[in-house]
Amino acid sequence: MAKIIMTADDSASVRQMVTFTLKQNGYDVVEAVDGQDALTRLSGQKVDMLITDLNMPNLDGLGLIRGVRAGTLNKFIPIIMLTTESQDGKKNEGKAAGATGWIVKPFKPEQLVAVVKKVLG
Amino acid sequence: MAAAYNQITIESGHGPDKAADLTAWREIITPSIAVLREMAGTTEDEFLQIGSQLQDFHQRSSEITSMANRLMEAVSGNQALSLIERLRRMMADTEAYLAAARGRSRDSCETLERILDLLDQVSVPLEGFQKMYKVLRMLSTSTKIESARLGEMGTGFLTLAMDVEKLSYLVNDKSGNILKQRQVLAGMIADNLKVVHSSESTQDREVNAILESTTTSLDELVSVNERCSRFGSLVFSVSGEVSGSIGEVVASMQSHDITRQQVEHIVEALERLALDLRAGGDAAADMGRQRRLIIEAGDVCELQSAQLRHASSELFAAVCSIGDNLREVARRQARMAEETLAATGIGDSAGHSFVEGMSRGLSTVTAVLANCARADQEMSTTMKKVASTIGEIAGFVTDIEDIGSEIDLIALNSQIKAAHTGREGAALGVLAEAIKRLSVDAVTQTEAVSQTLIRVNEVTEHLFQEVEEDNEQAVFRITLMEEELKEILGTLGSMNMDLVALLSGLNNRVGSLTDAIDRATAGIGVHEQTKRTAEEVMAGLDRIVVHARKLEPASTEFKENLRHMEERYTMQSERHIHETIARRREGGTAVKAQVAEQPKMNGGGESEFGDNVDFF
Repeated sequence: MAKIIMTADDSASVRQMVTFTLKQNGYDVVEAVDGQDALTRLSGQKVDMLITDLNMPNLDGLGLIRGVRAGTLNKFIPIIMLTTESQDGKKNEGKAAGATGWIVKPFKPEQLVAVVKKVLG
Repeated sequence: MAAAYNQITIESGHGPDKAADLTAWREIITPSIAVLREMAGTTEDEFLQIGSQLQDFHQRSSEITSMANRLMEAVSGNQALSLIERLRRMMADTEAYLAAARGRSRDSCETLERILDLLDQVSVPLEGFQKMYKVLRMLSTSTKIESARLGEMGTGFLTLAMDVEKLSYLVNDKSGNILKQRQVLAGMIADNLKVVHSSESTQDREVNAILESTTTSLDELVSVNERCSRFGSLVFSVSGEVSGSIGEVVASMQSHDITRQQVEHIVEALERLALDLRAGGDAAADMGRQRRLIIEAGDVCELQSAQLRHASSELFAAVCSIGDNLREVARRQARMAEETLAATGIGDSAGHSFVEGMSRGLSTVTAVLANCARADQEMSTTMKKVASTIGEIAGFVTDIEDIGSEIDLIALNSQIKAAHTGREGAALGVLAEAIKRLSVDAVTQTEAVSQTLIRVNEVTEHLFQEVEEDNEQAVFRITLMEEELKEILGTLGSMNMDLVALLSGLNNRVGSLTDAIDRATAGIGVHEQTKRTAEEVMAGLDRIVVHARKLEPASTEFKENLRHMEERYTMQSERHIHETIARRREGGTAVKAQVAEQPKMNGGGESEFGDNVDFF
């Protein structure tokens, strides 16, 4: 059975490319338009991994990570930040919030797939 | 819309006029903000459309690669290898069969020629029988004359004369029959040899042509097989290159999000400047505040113009890259299809494959084999006829042998009668002697004919047995070869159907993909529109910079005013541009070219996944 990955990003074109890349490699993808939308969906759906943007309206990526780690259903899933942000300070904040890894946009499909394979085992 | 605010005139002033300048700048900046907001918010649809087409292109591209692989599998897979092996065996069997058939035919011809020689030898003794016939007729007449001369004493000789006459007819009849049969047989053999010799050369030419053509077909199949075995790595490599191009498109597609964020940061900086300018545009504002605002406006506009130039050029390059890479996908697939067709030997635009020619060539092998079988059969029939005719001749020889015995008896009888008649029968005694000599001649001639015919019979019988056995084996072998050939032709037919279907499908798909990509890339205009808009906004900002610098030279005095902008940056490229401009103000040597330079995404060390990936 295909593993389910959620992509949370306020950019439809980025979600489209993440979904395209992951589906080509056999994963099922759930899309969320911002942090709040993602958190709401994750409260009722078990996924295997979360890929989230940092800067999003309503709830940003850090808030989303904290929310997921505070919940139960998806508490221990790997979470990768996918963002234009490249400062070490922000990365440290992500790490502290519970992110598993950090990818600075733009990503190459093979990079994303390699990262997903690494964290999903 | 954008052009209108560029018409706003800026004139230098002092004191209250500076307030007017600040107001004029705000009137440039405010509509620029609106234009940039619209630009950031309305361009995504075009990207989303390209994105959805990308999925379609990727799908079609995968299908083309899959078809190219199936084409190669069709001519280089296990089925093809097995076919090559079967064709090789088939060729060897055909050659062996044809060589054996040719050998049999040659042997048969030699034997028939030998029989012809033997039949010639029969002619001499048979001519002796014809002479015997004449002598017997003469003796019969002489006996009748002598019998008449003797009157009553020669009555018994008349019966003897009648017997001799009867015997002469018998000799004539039987030897005539043998001669007739000999002529029929010689004619039949000569005709058969003539046919065999004339058809042999035609058949040889046909057989050689077919074997040559089949060898060429087999060589072609082997060559295609070898080419395709090597070609697999090229398909794999092209597939990798296509994936690489798709990957570039995926990366470039994210430029919209990156540019949008950069533009949002520019908008935020300009909004803050517009607010400051509104406050500074008040004529009551003090000179110091106006001076700070002039320097700030110059700094902010200079920075945001550079940021916008960078964002716009990055987006432009990314969209160009999307078009280039999509066209590259089509070009690579078209090249791969072309090379696949060349490698599989299917370069014919009419959709024919070399397999069709091969099937036609092999079909004629069946015809040649059938001809050979027919020739074998005809030779066998000839041999049977020869054997049968020889049998008939042998029967006539026995009759002649019987005649010899009868002559002998008649001679003895006439000698006895001549002795009984006494001196008057002396002439008849001479006749009896002559008849006796004839009986000896008859035995000699009969033996000569008989011996020759026995030799003919031996040769024919031996040949008949061999031909009969060879023919049975040949029929069985040909049946097997025909069945095998039928199966090979069936396999070739099926291979050909697959090739033609795949060829047509591959060409159609490549053509369709190329058209779709051409249409999609021709319709991309977002980068041009963005570039035009950005250039109009930058022109306004640059005019403000020139004017502001004229009023107040660049200074690091208020650089802390720009701190808020730095804090908003998320991208390394934005920080890089900011630092470059700042250094220039401080007397550094940074030039514009450096602004467009793509900075490293990640200041940290490069991980095995790339320099933009970190794991915690």
